[in-house]
Amino acid sequence: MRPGLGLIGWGAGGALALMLALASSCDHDACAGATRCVASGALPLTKLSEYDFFQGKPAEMRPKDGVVPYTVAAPLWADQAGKGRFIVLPEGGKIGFSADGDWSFPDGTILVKTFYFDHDRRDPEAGARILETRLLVREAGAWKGYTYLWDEAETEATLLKTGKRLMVDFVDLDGAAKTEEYIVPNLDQCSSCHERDDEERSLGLITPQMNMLVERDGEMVPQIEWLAQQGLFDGTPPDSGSLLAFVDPLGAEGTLDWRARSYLHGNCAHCHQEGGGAGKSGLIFLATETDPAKYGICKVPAAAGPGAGGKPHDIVPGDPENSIILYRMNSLDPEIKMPELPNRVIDAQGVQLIHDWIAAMPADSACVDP
Amino acid sequence: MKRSSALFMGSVLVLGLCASCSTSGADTEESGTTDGDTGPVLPEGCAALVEPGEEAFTELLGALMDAQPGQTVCMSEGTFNFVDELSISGDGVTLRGAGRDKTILDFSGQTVGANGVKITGDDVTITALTVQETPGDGIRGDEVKNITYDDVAVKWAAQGSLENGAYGFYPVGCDGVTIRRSLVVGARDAGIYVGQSKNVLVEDSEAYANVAGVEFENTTDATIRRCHAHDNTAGILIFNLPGLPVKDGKRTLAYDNIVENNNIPNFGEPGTVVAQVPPGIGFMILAADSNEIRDNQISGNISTGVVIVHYSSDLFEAYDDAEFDIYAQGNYIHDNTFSGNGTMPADLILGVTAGKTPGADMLLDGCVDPDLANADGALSNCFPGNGAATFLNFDLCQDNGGMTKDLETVNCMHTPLVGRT
Repeated sequence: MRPGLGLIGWGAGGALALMLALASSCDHDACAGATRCVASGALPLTKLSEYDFFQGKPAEMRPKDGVVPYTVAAPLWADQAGKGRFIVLPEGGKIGFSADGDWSFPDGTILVKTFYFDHDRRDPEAGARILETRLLVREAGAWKGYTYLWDEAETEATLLKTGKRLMVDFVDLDGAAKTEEYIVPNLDQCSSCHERDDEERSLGLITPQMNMLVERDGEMVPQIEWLAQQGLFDGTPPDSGSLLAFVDPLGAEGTLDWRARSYLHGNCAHCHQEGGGAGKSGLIFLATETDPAKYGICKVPAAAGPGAGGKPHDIVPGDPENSIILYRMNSLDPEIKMPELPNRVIDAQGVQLIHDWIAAMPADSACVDP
Repeated sequence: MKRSSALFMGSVLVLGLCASCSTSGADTEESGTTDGDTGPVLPEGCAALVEPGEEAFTELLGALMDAQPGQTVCMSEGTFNFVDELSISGDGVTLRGAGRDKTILDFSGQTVGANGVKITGDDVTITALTVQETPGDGIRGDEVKNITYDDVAVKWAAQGSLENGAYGFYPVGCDGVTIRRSLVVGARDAGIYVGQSKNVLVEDSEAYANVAGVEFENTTDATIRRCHAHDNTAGILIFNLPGLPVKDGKRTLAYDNIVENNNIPNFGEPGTVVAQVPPGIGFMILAADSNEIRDNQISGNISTGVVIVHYSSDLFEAYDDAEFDIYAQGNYIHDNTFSGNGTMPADLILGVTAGKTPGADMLLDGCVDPDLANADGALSNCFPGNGAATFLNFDLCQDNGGMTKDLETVNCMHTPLVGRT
């Protein structure tokens, strides 16, 4: 008997702790199994509850069978919002594995990502406010993004195309009451990250992001192998040890260089690659890019305008203060800031990581001003 | 108070629109559609009409998202204060204001988005409105086909301010760009900028108080005609830059333009390429080939009227791009009218021309690619038929050793470009 998934409480560090529990409450579900029935009706549905992803109190995001949790190694900064992620395959649908490209998904697949703010960042057990749930829906061979805004009672989320600004209260790590503006993106803004070569893409579901250990059933297990055990793949993926793996950019694993490259991939490469929104900058932040000039070393900025901040190169080895990328990561000015959308809070730890990475590079004489 | 005044403005406009509809008489039934029971009568050709007010941004964005190819979303007269980037993602959509001086999109309070307006749909037209005071760029066109800016202005009111945005019109990576009857004022980089694009027409437009009035960057087959570039740091730039995915822009044709008095101090961001451009430049060709500048009126640019230079590592930032061709070759500068250029060259120009003052109407750095044969003259830069214009080849690559003012050395011709009409 395959165990169902139940979500129990809020884990340490603000992350959702996903734990396995027996699926006693799902026994009556005709669509139980590794996949769920395709939601009926023309997509997008107006209410999130109509998709029937969760059981119990909706905001607790306790997935029904076939709503399979996943996480990524190097997540995109989202103003310190937490994220809960799930894959929902249509009945009988399988994922086509790729070691170095996008995984393929059958029509009817829905990727679910819920964004939340912990009430008290010192105490994740104190719960969280659920803000929005984003869906990527696979239809006719293409992804399409939708956003659902939760009501204040957190009983229902409703389709919202035009975006919204929310004021969110929380207690910060110093115990101070804070209010922060959080931006629910409009549907065009979904494309600004997810579109590449005129096609919407899923971003996190690539091998190096997924190839990590996750806690399942109280044990740390390789995520791709666990997903394979759940029957999600068409065929058997290669051994995890043979596959590229990003590391937690803020974690203890991996070299400084690989942590930085993992971070830049997760936070920048969706635009900064050929065909991406910033492809025309010539600056490529794929972690697999091997040409230092392409990932910014001594690279002259293209049309950066004031975003260059008077600095000569995207990355000046050994000199973070003169590196444009650090300047742009460390700004909230809409003209300067990177990523462009839609953060309202600087990722201070990410800035520190990239600072340390650049500072550790040996100075490059080719990069010195003429 | 703010809200009620916006509502008041809205209601006035509804009356105005109704009045104009009634004058169109028999057309009303075909072209006018009511927006529900209480909404205003839509002007002719509009799938939706958005008026100023608290919800204007959401209404406008929603209308643009819902618009089908071929449909027009209209904005009424008035000032719209937006704090978010407006996006147009649908193909074939037109956004139309009530007139360039009547419909104002003001982004003074913008906090999110690098552009005022970002266009990602193909075949989009934006017309009859002004975008002003964006913290970043004005109207971006992002790798689209056939984008049209018609009767549009992008403005920053402050003069020479570091707070102004970088680019006014900002199509990048586009195939098919048309900019007509439009205006950009105050950009701290390029007012009318077209980058990494092809098949471009800029006509009947004006740019002033920008660092660069107009810039074509790594762009091929652009035509600029009947434009007025004045009182910028530099009038019209035709640049090729290293490190970009689209390389080797060429064949820009410029004719019937007035390029005058481009002498304002450079207020570009240090580190950017345009910040290296000295004040007082009419046209500048940098590392670009096979461009044609003819029948323009070029006057009062105190450094020079036309300058052609290679991408000199002495003048511009170091780069790492093995495919980049640094030389400017095969350019054809002819039959222009020059007057009063080069009267007081900027220090940088004096530096590279061995201090020649007064300078010249036309400057050439004289650098040629030593690895290429030029037996047929295809790589020569030609300057015939420019009346009494003065010329200086300052032979930069040989430390001014072979400097010459002799126009006979550049009296050659190329096949004229056809250009876009």
